[in-house]
Amino acid sequence: MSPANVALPPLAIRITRADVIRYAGAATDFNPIHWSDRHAAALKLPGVIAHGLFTMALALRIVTDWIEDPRSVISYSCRFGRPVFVPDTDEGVELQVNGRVSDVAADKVTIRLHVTVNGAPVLTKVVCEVKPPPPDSAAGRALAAAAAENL
Amino acid sequence: MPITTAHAGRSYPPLAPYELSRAKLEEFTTALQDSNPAYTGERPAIPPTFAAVATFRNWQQLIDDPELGLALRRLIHADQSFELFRPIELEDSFEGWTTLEDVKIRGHLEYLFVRVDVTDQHGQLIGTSRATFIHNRAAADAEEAAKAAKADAADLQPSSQAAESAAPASAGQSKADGAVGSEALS
Repeated sequence: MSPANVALPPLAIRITRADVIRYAGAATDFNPIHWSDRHAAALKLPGVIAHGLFTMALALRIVTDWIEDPRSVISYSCRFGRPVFVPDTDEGVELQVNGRVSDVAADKVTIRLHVTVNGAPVLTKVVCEVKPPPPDSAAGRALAAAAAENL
Repeated sequence: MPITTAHAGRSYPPLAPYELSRAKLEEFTTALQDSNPAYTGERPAIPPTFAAVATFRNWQQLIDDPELGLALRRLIHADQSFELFRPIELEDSFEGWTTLEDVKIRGHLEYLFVRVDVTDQHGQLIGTSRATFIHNRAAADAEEAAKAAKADAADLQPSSQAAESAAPASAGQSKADGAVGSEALS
């Protein structure tokens, strides 16, 4: 089967310092560069940054929203290309997540994500592999429709 | 004694098993602002990236290894991959088998390539996490220099204070001074 090139519905996620601290607690990762400007400065960072894993986990929602069943995820990888600075404001920062199917095989579907803040990629080489979605699901129908177009 | 390339290949025994709970699952999905109904109900799914929570304790094993001279506050996560051989389930109890697969030193930056194989209560492999961390040795050196400067400043204090803090069974305040003094000696 050829790559379907299906685009996933895009996602925008806003995160504030409170969200970063909530993730720190939930994930038990209390590295102070995620809550202390002073510690961030010690690593020459201009301020508190979100956990790379937090950004990575948030971005995966574009995939799990689309396939519906999170148990379908086979692999997920990325580089933390640019730190996500989270200013101490009520607005925080907004992540923009886009995704596109890059390959469809009998046993898996490969999806590539673009995760940006203000147009600049923060995660790079973001690849997720999932089991093929059931034909009667929205994702399954989108893939079938794209495959029919390719014929 | 800081980390060197000779530490590549070092592995760590698993810690006590990590047992998942519904409460932790809820904390995690709330933190991810994720209301996918799959994460609730009778047999909830577990977010694939929850694997990071299970492996965080294993990364801590490296940080706690005195031979490597690392600190969490000086670590930056450079990349991450998760490979899941089956979905994580609520009833799982994890053990993480940690290996420092490689070490590369580039100036004051120390690159750690860390693999954790996560097994379940039956010894079956659930997944593998591969991470690259960058540890900042310059920040470690700066901390050491600041500590030494503080110790030098303490040495300039009147000697009577040092004598007082060295005396056994002294009052609370001088005991605190003694704590600073012992840190300076280390």
